[in-house]
Amino acid sequence: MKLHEARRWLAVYFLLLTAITGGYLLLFGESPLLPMSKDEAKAGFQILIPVLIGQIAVIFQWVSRLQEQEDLAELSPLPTWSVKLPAVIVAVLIIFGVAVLVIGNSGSGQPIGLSPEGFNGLLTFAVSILNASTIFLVARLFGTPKQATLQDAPSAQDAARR
Amino acid sequence: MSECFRDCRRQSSTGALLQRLVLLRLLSWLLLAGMVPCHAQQAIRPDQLVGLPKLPPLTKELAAAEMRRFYLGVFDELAANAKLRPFESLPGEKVAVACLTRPQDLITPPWVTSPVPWGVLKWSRNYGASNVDAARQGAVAYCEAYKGADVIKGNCTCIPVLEGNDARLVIDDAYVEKYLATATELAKKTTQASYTDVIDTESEGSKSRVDGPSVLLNLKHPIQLGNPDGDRDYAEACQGRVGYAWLPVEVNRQVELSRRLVQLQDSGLYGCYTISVNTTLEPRSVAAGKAAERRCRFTSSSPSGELPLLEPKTKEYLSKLFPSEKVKRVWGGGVVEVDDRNVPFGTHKLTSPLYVEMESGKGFRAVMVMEPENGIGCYVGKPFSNLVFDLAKCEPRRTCEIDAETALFQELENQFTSPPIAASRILGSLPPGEIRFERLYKPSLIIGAPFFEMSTYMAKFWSADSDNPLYSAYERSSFKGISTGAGKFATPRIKIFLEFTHFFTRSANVRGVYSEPDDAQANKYSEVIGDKVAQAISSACSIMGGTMKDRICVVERK
Repeated sequence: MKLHEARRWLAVYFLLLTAITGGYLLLFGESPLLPMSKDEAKAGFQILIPVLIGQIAVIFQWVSRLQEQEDLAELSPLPTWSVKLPAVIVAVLIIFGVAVLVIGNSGSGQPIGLSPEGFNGLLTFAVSILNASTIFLVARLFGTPKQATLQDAPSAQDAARR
Repeated sequence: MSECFRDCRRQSSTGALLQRLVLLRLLSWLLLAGMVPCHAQQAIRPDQLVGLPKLPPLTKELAAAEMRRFYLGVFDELAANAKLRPFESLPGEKVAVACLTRPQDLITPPWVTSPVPWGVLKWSRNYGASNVDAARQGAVAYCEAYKGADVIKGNCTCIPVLEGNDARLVIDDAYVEKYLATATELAKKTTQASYTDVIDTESEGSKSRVDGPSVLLNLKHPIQLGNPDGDRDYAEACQGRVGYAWLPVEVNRQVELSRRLVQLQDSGLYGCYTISVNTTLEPRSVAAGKAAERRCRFTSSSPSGELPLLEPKTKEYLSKLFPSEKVKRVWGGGVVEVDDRNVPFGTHKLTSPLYVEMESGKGFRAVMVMEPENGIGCYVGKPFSNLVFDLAKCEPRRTCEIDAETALFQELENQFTSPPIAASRILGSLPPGEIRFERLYKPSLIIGAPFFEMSTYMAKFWSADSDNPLYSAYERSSFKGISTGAGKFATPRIKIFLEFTHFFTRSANVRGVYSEPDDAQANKYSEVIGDKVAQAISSACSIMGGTMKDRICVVERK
């Protein structure tokens, strides 16, 4: 996997995950699509979204500091699975949780249903997985841009010498 | 004291030492003077208490064994009491069958002193069968006739069979599983319950003013411990079941406690309150009716050594709870119904326990255990309260009354068991003139998805010659021939009144917290219930051959 691909993949992942889950939790509380009270949906929002927003902030801070194009040929030092698997697992967990929540409350209520507490517990679990995995990679991949940094800029002493 | 002080005081910022010392001294004075209730209200821990429900069985095998033990005990008890005649012998094989109550009714915490589950008495029948299988089928058919009853959903899952003197139980897996789930839920609720020292809740500060001399009352004998505010109280209906456990009192605190109890006893009536369906968090009643009953509290005790004055089950409960002790005296909080001048006219049969003194000198104070039920509270609406039948020109009067009430009873059942209300009738031992329905943890057909509802409905009839606020004392005892109505206060009853109450919470998730609806949702229910009651009255009126005038059915029959 190329380095720029890994970055793009994570950036798109976090943007989509944040927008979709945030919108879902904010808009659909107390509806058949999200069968929990608005307060409980808000609690879920407060568990999940701050972490995701933090990642988006790191990513876009990096983007904003870019001063030259990325090296498209540079290979990622990280194995592909470590970039994609935790993120995919988290997305699948959330989708699965939503499905169980919705199906469990269909009709007269099904035995496999999730309570709002259970659903928010699942979100906490998902955030924990991200905290223990992908978030480290984000810090690594979206650290200080490599191009013309302070290291390359002439120091104050050099300038004085000149 | 130091621990409490740590909890109570505010964290001061970088403060001057002098300021801190002054503050400390001031707080100490306040605490000593009892103005800060921190010390008095030390949290009660469940592990300090005697008499909490024991942990229920957590495996299927243990649950089945416990149910078996329980039922065999019930059979023994019933057999020992010839008056109950629970199981009638069938010809030939001496077989009898009973369809028992719902499993959750078997989970009775120790404070519940009911002798047997009501279902045993209610549904025990001779099915005219000549062998066990036929009797079993008869029991199932009998149960299924009660559409909507909870036990039917499991197809009459528990069929105990009594053959001669040997009880043979047929308890199937579904019944055991339901019992197990209920028992587990009970254990959870017990750990999450709130614990309140009952004596601390008694306060003579709100002593009522009775016109005339002070009134000192004694407990009604035989004393039966329980929650006197049980059946109609907001707390019990909406906040969870109330029970009692016991906290040992240290010897050096007993004198102080006795003084407090005597002080309460000498206060006469105190803490008067109105108990009715209007006792709500947010009354949104469309047609607010009259308050049903006004009550006051008083404290009294069984005379020392006069324990025969305790009701037998109460004595049994206490002796099982404190096997190594001998009870000397029981203090309790009585409840008396009063009129609007606080003049008493009847004590309640249940007594809230306060304190038990033992012969050994030990003492135990009662702690109220309130299980969490709905958490937030619930909406209580009274969508209907009105005169419904005018029978002034209907003869014979007694027959008219019974016919009208029975017709209304039946029509209400028809309306409330069909959609969109779709509730089940509660088949319990109810007071005369009452019919109740429930729809628990099921989708609300009125406010729609995603909401599930927890609704209970209570219709209360009474007949009187006018809308008498004291109807409950005199008039409600006449229903379906239960009373001849020839009592001291009997009056020519020519009108029938109906009051309908709806307790309601809802949740967007079937496993979520059930809380109060918003105004729009409450209004939707009020409209539907109002329409359904009106339809029931109208149909009952047709059955009676009457005519509707201003929502009142006027019956002219000779």
